[in-house]
Amino acid sequence: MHLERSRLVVLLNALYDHGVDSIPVKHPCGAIGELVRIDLEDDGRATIRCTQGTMTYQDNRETIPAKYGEPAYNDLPDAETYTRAMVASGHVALDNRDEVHEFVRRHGYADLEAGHDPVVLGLDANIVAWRLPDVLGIDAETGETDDRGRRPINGYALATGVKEELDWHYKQYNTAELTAAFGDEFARLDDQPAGANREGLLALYEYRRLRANRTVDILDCETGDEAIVAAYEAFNRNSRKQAVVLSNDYGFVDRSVDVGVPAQHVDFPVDVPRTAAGSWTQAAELLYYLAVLFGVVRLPKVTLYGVWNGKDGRHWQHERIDIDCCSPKIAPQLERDLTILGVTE
Amino acid sequence: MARIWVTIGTPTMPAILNPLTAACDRGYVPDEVLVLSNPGVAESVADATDRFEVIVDAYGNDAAIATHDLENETAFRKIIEFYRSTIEAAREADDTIAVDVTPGRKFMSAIAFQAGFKFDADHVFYFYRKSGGYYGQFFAEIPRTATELIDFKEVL
Repeated sequence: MHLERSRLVVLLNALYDHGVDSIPVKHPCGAIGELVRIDLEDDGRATIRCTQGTMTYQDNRETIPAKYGEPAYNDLPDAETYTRAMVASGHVALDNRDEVHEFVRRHGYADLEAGHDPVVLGLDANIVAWRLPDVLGIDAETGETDDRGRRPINGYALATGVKEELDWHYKQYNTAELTAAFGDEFARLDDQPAGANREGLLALYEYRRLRANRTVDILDCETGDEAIVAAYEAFNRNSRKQAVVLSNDYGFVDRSVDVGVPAQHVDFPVDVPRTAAGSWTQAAELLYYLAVLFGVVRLPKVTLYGVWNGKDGRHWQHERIDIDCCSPKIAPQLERDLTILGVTE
Repeated sequence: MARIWVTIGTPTMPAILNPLTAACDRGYVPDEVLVLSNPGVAESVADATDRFEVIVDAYGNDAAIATHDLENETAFRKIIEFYRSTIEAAREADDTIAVDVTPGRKFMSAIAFQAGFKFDADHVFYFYRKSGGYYGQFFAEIPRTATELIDFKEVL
């Protein structure tokens, strides 16, 4: 059964109704095991317990090659990616969140009525996947307005070079080894993107989502920092808009600043706290990221597949995951709720 | 012995659908749904009617949906008469009747609330969103612990 990212609270409701209010989220491989635990609390609040934390996860992942071989190791996201999923779901703040906000305050909130140029945000390939404009509250549509009703940014300027850098169509052909290492669930990952390529697809479809749903200027350019930065510089010179850029790469930021394109580095934390407070909605976001990045995660009564044999472009576009209900009671409830939601659109 | 659900038309779809869904979820799956409508909300009531059917069907029942049209929304005596006759008819037929006071104008809710007690409906329901969030969302996608279906017949 498929469920869209935006509807994952429906799954949390089903689990809660069947007595599961503390949800361990496990990788099927025992050597990795429980990644996080979600405690569902009153008034839509939830607490995330990071069972492993970044360092322990990294140590556990390092034991995989000796036990199960390189393909298994390569299928697991690295520790940085694990941490970034915690940031993307809104549970952990960027280390320099205040600095990024100050950057946006300085360059953003264009007063269009006073004739100021619109400000559009560029995203480097290394951060596209993590929906930072939403997490930071600076998105062109959902971001909070200031006391004069102005948005932080007025749209996006996306470079085609960035998109090409995200286009990693590498498939998983080692499912026999993965199944032996991690469990039978991985048989369903045959012919699907493997390891870090799942992050690439996450980013690619986020790029497309922005292009489809936001005001976006597309900057034609080659891949590589030099070409991408040159495209932003030319855009600022030739258009009546001002592009500002976020990146996780100091070289990219320096190069941009050197040619007069305002740019800000985003610092991801190196570790995650033991617990983080959030909402059911944020917990649902985290489930989506973990399911896609790890390929498969097990919850009580259900197994979530972020990729599965047969997942196609439309599934990625609609941000669907596949749910295998081990409990016979969960499936009918999900079907019922999705039927009702289907007529509310 | 039929179960009846009486509610009020409003342009806000979650306001009219969520209380019924929550009641179904709690086990009160109606056989009849009756909506008080007026010219200002007639269109959204028509939209809601189809959705009532889907919701009740999803909870395993087959409900008859009917609307009672007012000529204008401030026809107070007619509103009161609607509740009086509907609740009394249900009592005579030994049916169970629930009045939903959640959607619509405040005076509509106030009259429904008063009528529910005065004419002795079995339930007077209010769908409560505990926190400020989740506006515009539907019951199935709001965290379970962030909503509550209150039956004022149990509270008062």
